[in-house]
Amino acid sequence: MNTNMIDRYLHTVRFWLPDNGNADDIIAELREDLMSQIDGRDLSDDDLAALLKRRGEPSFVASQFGQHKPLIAAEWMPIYWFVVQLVVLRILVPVFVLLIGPIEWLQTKGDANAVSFILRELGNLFVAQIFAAGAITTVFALLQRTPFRVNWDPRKLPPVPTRPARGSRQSKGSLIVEMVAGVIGSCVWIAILRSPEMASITIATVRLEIAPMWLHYIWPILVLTLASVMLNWFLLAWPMRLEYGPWLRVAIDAANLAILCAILLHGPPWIEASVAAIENVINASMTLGFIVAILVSSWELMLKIRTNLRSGLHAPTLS
Amino acid sequence: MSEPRFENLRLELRRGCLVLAVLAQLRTEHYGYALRKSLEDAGLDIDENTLYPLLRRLESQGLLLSTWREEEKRNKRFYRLSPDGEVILAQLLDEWLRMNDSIARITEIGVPAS
Repeated sequence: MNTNMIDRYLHTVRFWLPDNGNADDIIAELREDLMSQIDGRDLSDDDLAALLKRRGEPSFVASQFGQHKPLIAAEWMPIYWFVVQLVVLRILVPVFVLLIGPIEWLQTKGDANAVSFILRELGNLFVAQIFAAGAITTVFALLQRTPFRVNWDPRKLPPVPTRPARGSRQSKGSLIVEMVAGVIGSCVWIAILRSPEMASITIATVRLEIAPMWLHYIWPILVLTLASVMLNWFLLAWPMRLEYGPWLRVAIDAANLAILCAILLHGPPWIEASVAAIENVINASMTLGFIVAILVSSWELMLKIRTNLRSGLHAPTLS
Repeated sequence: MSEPRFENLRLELRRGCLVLAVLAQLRTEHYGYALRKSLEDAGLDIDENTLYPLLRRLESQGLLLSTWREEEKRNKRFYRLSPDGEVILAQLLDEWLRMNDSIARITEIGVPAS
């Protein structure tokens, strides 16, 4: 019988065996087993091929001898998968779509082709996702190979979140609209910070521009707007996990109200015009607008606080 | 539909039993092929890709001893139970009997008295 096929089969198995010094010994034993199965019979090539095929593909046969530790062990899988999804989908996607994309678009000053810009940003997002997933996998693979183990205590587990009552919840639609408006607003503020000349406009012969006092308020407004965008995103992504979401909303609204009051108290001019009469009319209208906005915001804030209290949402306490 | 599910559960159930059967069979010395045949004769099929890695694993755990020896003009690797293996086998057999007894009692609960 031609044993060439067995030699080639075992050579391939040998190639895939873990290199721990036992490979030759294993191959000798496998050879002996095959010879015992053949037991002196003169098998045809087809019969021998069928026998080896039944035995299994060489890399599979070799894999049975390895004691491979999985890259991510089963007990780490839930937290690993949670972190990958969190970073790759719930953080990177909104960061690229809502922040990096708009900022880079502003930097192009509208000169770029929209389709190629979107494709390039999607490519960047994809690369960032692959890199993040790889980095997370590496960290978890290393972590589970260290003696580090979570020393958990049942007494320290987080409380079961209570779903906010219907009255204190915002609809998904309004959250999305507010979020989009917040992103657009933030982009406008950032653009003004980068090039203040963008905040001026000439209508007919009248030049209008924002007063320098706004430069004191841009940063607080920007921070609050971004905080509101993030809160909306969290409320959309994890409505059950953000127990104090409605109270955070109240806090942001209260801070917005405080800024409105500060701007009103600062007094006009908020807009400067090249024609004094027009400047007076605009700022008088704005004074009225601010007063109305403060009254409406105060009323809404009061309603939100009342709704939160009635729906049993206790204000967060420091502990 | 139920066939793959049964097959998976059957394999899961067999896994531990095979260790017990191999250890018990190696109270007398066998080489791989002969061991497989003797298990087969006893009604327990085990394929080579399961048996040989299992023998290596049990040997590395100190439960088996092995030696290469010539028999019928061929070099063969003979396995037998080590002293540690005998202790572990006795413990496993005890556990097996207790589990068997428990399963018998549990399954009898569902059988209506005749």
